[in-house]
Amino acid sequence: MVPELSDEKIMLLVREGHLSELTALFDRYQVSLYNFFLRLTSDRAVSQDLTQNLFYRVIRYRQSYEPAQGSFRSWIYRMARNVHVDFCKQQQKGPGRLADPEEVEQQLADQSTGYTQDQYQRLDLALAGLDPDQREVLVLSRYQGLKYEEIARIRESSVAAIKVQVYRALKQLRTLYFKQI
Amino acid sequence: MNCKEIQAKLIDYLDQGLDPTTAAAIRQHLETCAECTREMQELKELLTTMKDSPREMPPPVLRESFDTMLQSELNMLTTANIIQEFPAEERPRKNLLPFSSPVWKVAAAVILLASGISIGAALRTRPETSSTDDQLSALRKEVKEMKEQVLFSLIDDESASQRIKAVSYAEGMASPDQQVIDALMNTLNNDKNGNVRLASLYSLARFSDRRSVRDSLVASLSRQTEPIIQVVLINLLTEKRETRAIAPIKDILTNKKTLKEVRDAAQRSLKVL
Ligand SMILES: [Zn+2]
Repeated sequence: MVPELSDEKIMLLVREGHLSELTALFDRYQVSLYNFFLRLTSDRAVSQDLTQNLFYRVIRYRQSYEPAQGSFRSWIYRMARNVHVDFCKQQQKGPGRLADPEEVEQQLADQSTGYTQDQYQRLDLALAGLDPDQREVLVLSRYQGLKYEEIARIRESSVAAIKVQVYRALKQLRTLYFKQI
Repeated sequence: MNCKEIQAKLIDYLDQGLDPTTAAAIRQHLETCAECTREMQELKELLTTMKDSPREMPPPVLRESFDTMLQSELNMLTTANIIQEFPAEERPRKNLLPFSSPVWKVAAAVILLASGISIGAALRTRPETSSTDDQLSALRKEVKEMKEQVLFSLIDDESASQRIKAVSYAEGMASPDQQVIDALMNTLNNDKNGNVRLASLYSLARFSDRRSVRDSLVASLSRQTEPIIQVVLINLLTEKRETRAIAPIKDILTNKKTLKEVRDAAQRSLKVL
């Protein structure tokens, strides 16, 4: 039996040139990262591509992995964030193409008059109404369940600043979400 | 605390991230304040819904395309170990061909010949990770036995990528015992997959200063029919000034089926030996 290694140790092996080891990390992270992109883009095909791009970057930039600078998880999420930002630039629509607040409010209003909506769907719609930066911080904190410390590292910010951002984003989300009821 | 201060702490309150005293104070306030209670309940519903939102499973094709990508990166890395002039970072991806493609094989053989570089030197200068990190050396020690374990458990695996993984583990071993060498040699001579045989040869090349390893490589030369493997073997043995390779190299030259690129390598090699 081969013993289970930590993410960090596996990534060190990858950095040393044992690329095949990355498969283990892919298996550990593909669902989370795919869903991370899915929450940000609401597009399955795009999310698959971005997940694939991300792991390609992990291979390409494996030498930049430095365990002293934090967990593997925050390292790969920081890279995931960059992959998403690059994708948005590529689209030339800016990261907020879903986030026209007025449009979302209108959609939500339309739905509130009809049959009962699935609460998850309503939440998705409300989330799409946030500005991209707020959406990202909530996805990291609440959907991906990362700690404030990790998010601070991913977004190169402080824990205190992240807490404020989460607070503000939730406040905004609450307004959008409960407007529908 | 007034309402505003209470509301600022509600997230931490719901996350149970507050000290008991503050939490108790908030609980007390909520009993009497309808506005804060409403805010707390809405937040709670929001947080719970987010936390319980179902995750979607990515389609299996995601894993398959990852495997394909990894395989081509592995092939490129292996080649880059030989052709150091072309750092992997700079090569455009679209030029990648599947390793099994004959075009690729010939292309690689041509590059090997054209660049005329020394395989042994390239293998030696392969980045060994200059880090003197304590953590890293501890890790190396920890994985040393693991590598042998993996090597022997995967070398007969059904999947070619697992077998490549197995033989590439040997590269990291400072002084593998004869059992490891024999396993690699057996793979080089008998594995049905060309990628696996080549990976095995690269691992063996690191130990070609051992006479016993060179003996087996010379013997292997007459068995190999894959052009890229022939070229790598010829160049490696030439560089080691292995005169016992002359006879099998001459055989390759007289064989009518030998590819031109391999023939060229053989002729160059005979001039040196
Ligand atoms: Zn109050």
